[in-house]
Amino acid sequence: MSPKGPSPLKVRLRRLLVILPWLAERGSASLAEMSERFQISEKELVADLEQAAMCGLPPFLDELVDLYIDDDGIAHIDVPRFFTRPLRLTAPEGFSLLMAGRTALALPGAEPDGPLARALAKLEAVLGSDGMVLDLAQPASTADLVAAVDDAAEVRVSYWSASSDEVSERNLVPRAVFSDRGRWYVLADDDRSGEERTFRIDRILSCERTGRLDVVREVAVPGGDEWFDDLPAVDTATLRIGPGGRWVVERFPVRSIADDPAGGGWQVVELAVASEGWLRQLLVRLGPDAEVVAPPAWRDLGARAAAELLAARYAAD
Amino acid sequence: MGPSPLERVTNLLTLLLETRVPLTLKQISQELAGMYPDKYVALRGAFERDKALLRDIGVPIETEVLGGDQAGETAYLIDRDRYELRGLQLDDDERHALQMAVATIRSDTGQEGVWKLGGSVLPSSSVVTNVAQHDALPTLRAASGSRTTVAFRYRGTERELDPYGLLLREGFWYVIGHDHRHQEVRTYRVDRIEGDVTLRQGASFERPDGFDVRAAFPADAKLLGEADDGASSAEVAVDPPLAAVVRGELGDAAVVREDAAGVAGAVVFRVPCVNRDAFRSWVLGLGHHAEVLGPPEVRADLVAWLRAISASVGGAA
Repeated sequence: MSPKGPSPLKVRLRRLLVILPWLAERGSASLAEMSERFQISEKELVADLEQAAMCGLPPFLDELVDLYIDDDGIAHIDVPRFFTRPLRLTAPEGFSLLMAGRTALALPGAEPDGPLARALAKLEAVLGSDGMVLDLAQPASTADLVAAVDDAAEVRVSYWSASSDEVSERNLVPRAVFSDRGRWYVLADDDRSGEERTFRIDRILSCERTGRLDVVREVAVPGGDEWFDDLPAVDTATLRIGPGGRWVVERFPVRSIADDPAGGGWQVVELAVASEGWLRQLLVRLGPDAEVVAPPAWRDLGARAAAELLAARYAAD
Repeated sequence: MGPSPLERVTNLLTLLLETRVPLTLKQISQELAGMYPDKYVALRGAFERDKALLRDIGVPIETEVLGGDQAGETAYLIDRDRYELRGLQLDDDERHALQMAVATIRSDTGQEGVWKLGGSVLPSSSVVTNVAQHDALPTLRAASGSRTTVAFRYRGTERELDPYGLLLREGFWYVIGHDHRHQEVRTYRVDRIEGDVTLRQGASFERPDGFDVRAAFPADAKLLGEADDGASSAEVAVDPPLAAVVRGELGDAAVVREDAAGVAGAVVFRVPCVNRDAFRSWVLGLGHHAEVLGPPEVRADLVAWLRAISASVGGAA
C-alpha cells in the first residue's frame, strides 16, 4: 500500500497534521506501529518527523516539535503548542464519514441504536444534520449471503441468468457481497464454472446452505469503475443512442463514447455485449432512441426482436 | 540550501495560527526570514501556492482587506477555533464502528477522516458498497448541514436551491430542495450538475419540520410524472422463473393472482405505470417472460411501441 518514492507535499503535510496530534497525545510510539497505522514507510515517516522538528518560527526560540528517535525505533516527541489537535474535518471527509456510517447502518445486521448510530449522532452534532438518505434496499437473500461469506459456508442456489435466459442450479462459496449502481451482487467460487464469478442477488431464486464449510478467503471486490456480470462480455456493438437512451451509458459497460456528428444530442457508443439476447432486449427497450451501426448482422436485431415479441405475446391485438 | 517546501508551509501554518492580528504578505515574508524568495513576484507566487495547498487540505485561512496606512492590502490569519477539530469525542466502540463503516465504502477521504478521529487503517470488509462519487456532493451536504443556499448550473440554466437533503437511490445521487425561481420543491440529479456548486454565503434557510427526502421523492421510477391517459397501474403477467424475481422486487402486495392462465408458477402483478416510459422499459426488460394484460390503453401503447420498432430497419425511424 505504501507509495513508491516521496509523496506529494500535500499528502505529506496532511499526514503530518494527523500524526503529530496522535503522537503528542501518547508522548512516544514505535516507528513500526506508526508505519502500519498511517500506511507510510518508516523511512518516509522519519524524514517527515525530522522535517517537522526543523520547523519553528524565527528566532527559533520556541521549537515547534521536539523529537528524539531512540535505538529501539521508538519516537519520543513533545509538541509544545500547535498541532496538539487534529485539523477539523474537511467537507469531503465529513461527507465520506457520514455517508459511510449511514451506508453501514442500512446493511444487514446493523444495530439501529448501537455504537455506529451513536457515532453518527455525534458527527451530525458537529457537521450539521443534513437530511442525507441512502436507499440501499437489499434483495431477500442478502443477509444470508453475508453470513455465508463470514462462515465461508457453501450454498445451493438456483439462479436466473439474463444473458443466457436460463435457470441453473449451482453450489457457491460466497466470498464477498457488494452493491454497485444500486444493485447487489455476490462474488463466489462457482462449482459449475470452476471459477470465481459474480452473481446478481435479486436473480437468486432460492438459496440454502449445504452444510459444507470452506476456508475463509479474502477476494478483491471490483470498484465502481469496473464492470462485471454473470457472463463475460463476448462482443462489441456500435450503437447510435438518442437523448432518451442516455441511461444506457450510465448503466452498462461502454468501451468508447463520442458525440454523433449529426448532433441532436445523439451519441455513438461502443457497448460491451454479453449475449445477443441481452442486446435484443436492450434494443426493444430503447426503441426509436437506438440504432445499431455495427456489426451489420445486428442492424435489424431490434426490429426482429420486437416482431417476435409481438407474435409471442400480442398476436391477437 | 534553503528550507524544504514541507518546512516552509508548516512554518506558514504555524505563523498564521500564532498571530492575533492579520498579517500582510510583507509581514509574513519578514517573519519567515529566508523561507520565501526576496523578489516580489516570486514571493507572491510561492505564497499563493502554499496558501492554496493549506486551504486544499481544509485549513481555514481568513482574509481581511486593510485600511489606513496599508489601505487595499490583504492580510491573513487562521482562527484556531475554526482550525482544530473540537467537540467530537468518540468512545472506542464508536470509533471502531465508524472505521468498519468506512471500510465498507473503501473511501480514501473517509480514511483521512478516520485518522483525524484517532482511528487506524481500514480493515477489509465482507460487504462493500460502491457509491458513486461526485465533486459536488461534499459541498451540497455541507450546505444542507449548515442550511446555506447553493447555486449551480443544470441543463444550461442557473439554479438557486435550498438543499433540504440528499438521496442515493438505485445508484444515483439526487439533491432535493426548495428551488428559488420555481418556488417549489424540486429534485436534481447530482451527476448532471454542470460545473461547481457554490455556497451563497449569508443566504440561509429553514428546512420544513419533519422533511424526509424519501417522502419528497417517489420510491418507484414507474410512479414519477403524470400519465397521459390517467391509467396509474397495469396488470402484468410474468412467467416462471422471473415471477420470483419480480415478486422479490415488488413484494407480495403487488400479486393479483398466481398460476395465471393455467401456467404453474406464473404470476399476475399490479405494477405502477404513471411514468409510461419507465413502465415500458421495465416490462420489456423482462423480455418474452412478461405480458401486459391491461388496461387496454396501456397494452395498446406497448403494442404500438413494438410495431414501430418492428417496422423500422436498423432499429430507428
